[in-house]
Amino acid sequence: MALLDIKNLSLEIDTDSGWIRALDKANLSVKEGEIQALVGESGSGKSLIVRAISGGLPPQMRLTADRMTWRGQNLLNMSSEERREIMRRDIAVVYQQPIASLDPTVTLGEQLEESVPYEFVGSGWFWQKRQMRKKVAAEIVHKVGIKDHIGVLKAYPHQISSDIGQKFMIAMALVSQPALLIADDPTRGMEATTKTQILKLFKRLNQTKGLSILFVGHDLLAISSMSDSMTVLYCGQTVESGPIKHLQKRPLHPYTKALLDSAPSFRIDLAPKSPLVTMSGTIPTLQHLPIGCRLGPRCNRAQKNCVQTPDTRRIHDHYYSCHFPLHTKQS
Amino acid sequence: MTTLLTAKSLTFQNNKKSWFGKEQRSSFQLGPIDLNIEKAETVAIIGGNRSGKSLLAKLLCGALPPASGEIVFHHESRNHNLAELEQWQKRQVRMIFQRSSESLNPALTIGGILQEPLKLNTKLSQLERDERIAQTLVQVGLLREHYFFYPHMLSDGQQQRVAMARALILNPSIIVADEPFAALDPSVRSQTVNLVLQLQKELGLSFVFISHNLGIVRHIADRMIVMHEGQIVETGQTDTLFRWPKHKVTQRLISAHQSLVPSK
Repeated sequence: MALLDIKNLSLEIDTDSGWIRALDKANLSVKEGEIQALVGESGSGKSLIVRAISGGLPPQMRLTADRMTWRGQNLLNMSSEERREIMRRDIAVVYQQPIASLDPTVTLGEQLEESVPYEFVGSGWFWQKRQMRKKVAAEIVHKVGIKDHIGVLKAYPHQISSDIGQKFMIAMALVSQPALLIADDPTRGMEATTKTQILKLFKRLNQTKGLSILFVGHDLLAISSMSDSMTVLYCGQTVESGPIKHLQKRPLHPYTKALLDSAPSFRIDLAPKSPLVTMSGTIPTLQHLPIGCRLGPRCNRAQKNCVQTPDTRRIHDHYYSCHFPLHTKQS
Repeated sequence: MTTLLTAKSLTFQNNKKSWFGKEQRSSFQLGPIDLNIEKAETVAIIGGNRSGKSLLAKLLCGALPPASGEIVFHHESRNHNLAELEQWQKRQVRMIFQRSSESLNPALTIGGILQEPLKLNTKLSQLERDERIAQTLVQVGLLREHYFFYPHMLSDGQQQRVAMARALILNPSIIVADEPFAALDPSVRSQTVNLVLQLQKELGLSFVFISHNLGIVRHIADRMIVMHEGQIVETGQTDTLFRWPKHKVTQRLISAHQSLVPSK
């Protein structure tokens, strides 16, 4: 059974020029124990999906969905207490800018100890509980690969470097031993060595603890090395999803292909200094969204039908929504 | 190949004056660094955080004065006086900053942003300046109308192109870029890479850039400089370094990258 299952999620934002559909019928499902990647460029609504799952939407956004369940429980008509309970115990989120999402007035140690659940502290006198809390905090910090745990726990957020901050955020997310970790662009701007450390940590947690991970980002190199399946998002529409091996070998949607082509490391035969294959233009802003398939104006395979939103079609567990997919007989 | 720029035992130390006139020793020291930059070559600077990559870039383009050592430009001997020569040298190296969206003045139009370096460095008239700006905008793949736009009206990729135009407008021979591709989305990133390659072909520019993305480094760089704790630990041809890294730091970086690349 799917751990997290979202079907036809639409999210509208109230602006001066009326309601804008930032997410248009997005689908996403995360299975138990898998690493799912959510790929898209900035402005494609990745972070909005993360916020919709965590329930942190501001009042000017309106959410509608056919289905949004967590282990079969409906998240949409849940009371805020129940929802908070799930968010506290089962889902953990690593937000995009680690330093910005930490409290600047409190030391990192205090913030981490605060998020240690009561169950892990054990029963005892208050000093025993306090020691236990400290021990749990130090252990988890060590586990994510921060060597100087005493120094880091005493530091304030502005005193640590950004890669330590990133690791610390992951530690804070993992301390409650969640079932699903949502990592919103955890490797942004990292150098290669730290990046592989973090990816290895994720992979190890996935294998040993059965932790499911929703990896949000656009670093395809990192994603292809660790994820099992991938969902590609463009402008709030899910364009393609399926096992990562299928998508890499035979992308059906032109946008997926463009994304894969943009990483020069995927192609061994590419001559140095040769121009890369690109898709012209940039992602449209929310105020100027095209109708129908939102890739339309940038796509070189677009035809008349593309002004209608394509339905989601499937080949086994490979879903795509395109009128004129690549690698099929009709094209 | 002709050498354009030579840096000789360049050092930099960030000494803060503390109270009571005591000199405070800072823990970080850059250099001494020696390097050459040839004409029309692409040099990538890689290394971990706090290895002094950005500092080296700033020293090269003259944004910071070095504590010791010198940067020498090789030029055809012309009968300039010394002051003119210095001015000329400063125009030869231009920088592209890390985040183009934050390095463009939000209160000025693109035209205004591009006017400034021309006003400060050249004696062109208003008409000539406008013509030069229009040329440069077209050169980087923007429209003449973008003269009247404000930075927030442009997308990431277009902002990156404006940053490129600002660097190109004084006809430099070297462009130094601090992580030009890091903040960009994949499809815009490959557009920018193509733009750099094309401009290099047309104008014969040397391009020095800092990057974490070793895939792109491998694709466009001729030579790599690996830095660690303020020192250059290894330099060499890109292909050679990727295949046979010698220094421990290089080996670690390369193997971390290779572990992500699918092996076929």
